[in-house]
Amino acid sequence: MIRRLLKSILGENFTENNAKLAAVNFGIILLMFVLSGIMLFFLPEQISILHSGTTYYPVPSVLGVWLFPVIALIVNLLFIRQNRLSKMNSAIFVILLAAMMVSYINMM
Amino acid sequence: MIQIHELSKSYGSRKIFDRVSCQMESGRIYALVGMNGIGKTTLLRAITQPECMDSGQVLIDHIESSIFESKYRLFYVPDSKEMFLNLTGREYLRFIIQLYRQKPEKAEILQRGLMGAFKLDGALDAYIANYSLGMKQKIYMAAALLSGAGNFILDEPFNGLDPESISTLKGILAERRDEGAMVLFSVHNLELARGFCDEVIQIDGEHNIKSAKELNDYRWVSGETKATI
Amino acid sequence: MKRILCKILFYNKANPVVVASLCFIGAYIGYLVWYILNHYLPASAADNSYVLVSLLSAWFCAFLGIYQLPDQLCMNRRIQTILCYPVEVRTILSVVGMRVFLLQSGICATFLYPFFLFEAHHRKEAALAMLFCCILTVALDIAVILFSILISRFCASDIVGYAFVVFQYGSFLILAWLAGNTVFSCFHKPGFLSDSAGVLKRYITGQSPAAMQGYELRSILWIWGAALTGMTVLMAVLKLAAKHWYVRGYLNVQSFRHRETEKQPSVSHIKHPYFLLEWKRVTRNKELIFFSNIKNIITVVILSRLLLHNFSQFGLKGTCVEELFLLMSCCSVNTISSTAYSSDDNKSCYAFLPISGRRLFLWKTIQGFLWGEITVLLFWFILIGFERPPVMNTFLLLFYGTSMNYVCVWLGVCIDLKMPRIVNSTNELLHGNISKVIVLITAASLTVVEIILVGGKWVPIPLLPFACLAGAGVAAGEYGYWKFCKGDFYDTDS
Repeated sequence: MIRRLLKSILGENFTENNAKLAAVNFGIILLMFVLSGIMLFFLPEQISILHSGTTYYPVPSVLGVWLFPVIALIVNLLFIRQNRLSKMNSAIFVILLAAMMVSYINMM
Repeated sequence: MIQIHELSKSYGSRKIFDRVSCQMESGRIYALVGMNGIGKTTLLRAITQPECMDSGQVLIDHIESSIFESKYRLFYVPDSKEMFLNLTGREYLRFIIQLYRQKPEKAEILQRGLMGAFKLDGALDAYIANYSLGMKQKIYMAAALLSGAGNFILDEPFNGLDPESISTLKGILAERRDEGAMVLFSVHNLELARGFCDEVIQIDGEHNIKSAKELNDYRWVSGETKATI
Repeated sequence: MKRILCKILFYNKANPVVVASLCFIGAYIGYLVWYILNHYLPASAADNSYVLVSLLSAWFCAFLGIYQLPDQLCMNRRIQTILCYPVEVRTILSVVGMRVFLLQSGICATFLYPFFLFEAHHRKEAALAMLFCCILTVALDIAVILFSILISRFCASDIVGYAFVVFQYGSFLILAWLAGNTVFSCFHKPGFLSDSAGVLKRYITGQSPAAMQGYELRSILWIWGAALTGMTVLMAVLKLAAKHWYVRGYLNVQSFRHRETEKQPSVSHIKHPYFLLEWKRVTRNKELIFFSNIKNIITVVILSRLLLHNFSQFGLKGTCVEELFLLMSCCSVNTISSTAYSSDDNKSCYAFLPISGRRLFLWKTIQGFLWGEITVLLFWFILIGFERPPVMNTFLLLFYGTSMNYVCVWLGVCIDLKMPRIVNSTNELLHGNISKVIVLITAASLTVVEIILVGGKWVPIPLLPFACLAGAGVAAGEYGYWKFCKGDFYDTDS
């Protein structure tokens, strides 16, 4: 089932290696969504998603918490569309995951 | 049948063709020969894409090539084998059948026969991108044969094919010729044209188009082609 | 058949997972934008925020149309294959146009659906604004297609590529200027949005006819009548242009890419094989140089002007923050380095030739560095000419620009090596170049961290010398990595 889905997403670029990398990337993004969901219980009601200098723009955490996973999902779709699947972009997702967790811990 | 009248084409100040004319009859196979860079592909392109010509007229089955209807009368297989890579073989053939308005049931039977002859049955659901050069050549040739067009313009059709597939393709094209189709193919290896084509069309050093009958360089002796340099 | 044609022309990979992901992303972004505008726009403007959103969505749609339509209709190489088959020009135009329009409709829906769903009192206005955006988008698309056909048909083949660059990029600049002014007006001119909403309600979406005076009704009829007539005329001209000019125009654009010329190329005096390979890669893509060295500079200046006022709040006035950002940005948008491998047609041969992967990497870096340094020097001269900083700062700025140039070029080449991308045209690389974005984000993060460290007094030295040290440190680290981690560059040297 997963293999068939990956085959249809990757199209003519489907190879064992690409499928493995795409699966890892989707896995990391899924993990980001799950962790964001869990962190909802520990974060304050309002979190800041944007600030310019000293001005902060808080939004409810139930809304702001999905920003990182959504960015990762957009980047992943771009990578797949441009046929750029490699270990390096999996590393980018790991960095994004780490940055997300650090920012949540800072907000707690 | 294809008639070319007063065709001219130049790239910048370099003239490739200057008001050349020739005619290719239905029910015959023509081999197009000439040195590298002499204009073989340009001639084939001028037949299939009238916008490429600077001036002149090409008639396909008596229809001017600038009229859309004429496109249904010919099928062109270019020398580039990097087309439709993101389609599977089956999708590509279905696309051609729909495009050329062929009856699906009839085309299905023909497709099965062709896939068997070319030994492509097992690869139809794979992407063309993942085909070998020979497989790509075979699928484009199969599409040509499925299109139902009466004029086949083939640029280096034997490239990448194994001897068995070459003989299969030659057999099928000869069958089509007997049914009244016209086949024009460019070739470098004259051995491949031996005993297969009915006439040789040569583009000479002055970019003139000559038929083999007028040519001293090509002699037909009991179906054998000899090139003298 | 149109579905397969769409797949052929766009390399479409639409499947349920991708479509569901896009829907989710659109729904989330739309809601987030709606929430932020409702809470952070000035109170007087917040009630009419749907006007701002409809203007912005029209802006995004126009941007998409201006970049996608000429690219897909006049530069897409796959169309040449299709032209040999009995496919009518109008079929190609409708497949491309519909695809772009679907994307644009998605953008309008993304931005406007929350106003429709969550603001009961604005439901009618939001729906009409959405409709207005769609009509405006269609009109713009038709105009863009028509203009593209005219450019491709009537510009000589040696300049047609540049004409497209000027058209697309000029339109982008106008759009950026309009969008910037709109957003600025929303925040700083309290009556702007309500006035715009008034105009929209009165003349475009229409109040109830009973509440209108005779002359207002006439005005509305005139506006809609003129718009519909304009659209009909445009459609008719487009139909004629497509029939008579499109194919020749398309072939004209293709001949710009593969120009056959009588002119003999000049004999190259470069003896070094790696440098020759790189020099030929860059010079055969004339657009690459044009884009990277002119377009990027203009973009950097405009974006920096828009973004820099945010950093004045760090209290670092007079410490060259603006200059650092300008230099960093113009170094990081180096197209020659970020397409080092993707735009190299010879790369498939390197595997079986005695070519050292590591040395090739070095020469790709040097090539990108040299081109980037032209931009750095240009900026440096402009900066010292206009702002006249102290002598010490002048040299430090040049040092910073050069070190950041090396840092960004190295990173760009490395990303393109590690995340290879297969493309069908150089144009795809130039427009949607994600490597460049990654380099820009990394370099900007480095600069922001430097600013924060100096601003927070964690570092006892001024910003400019610290930035120079940091830049040089990172550059040395990158060079060290290249020197000692041979395996990472697929080196076969012993």
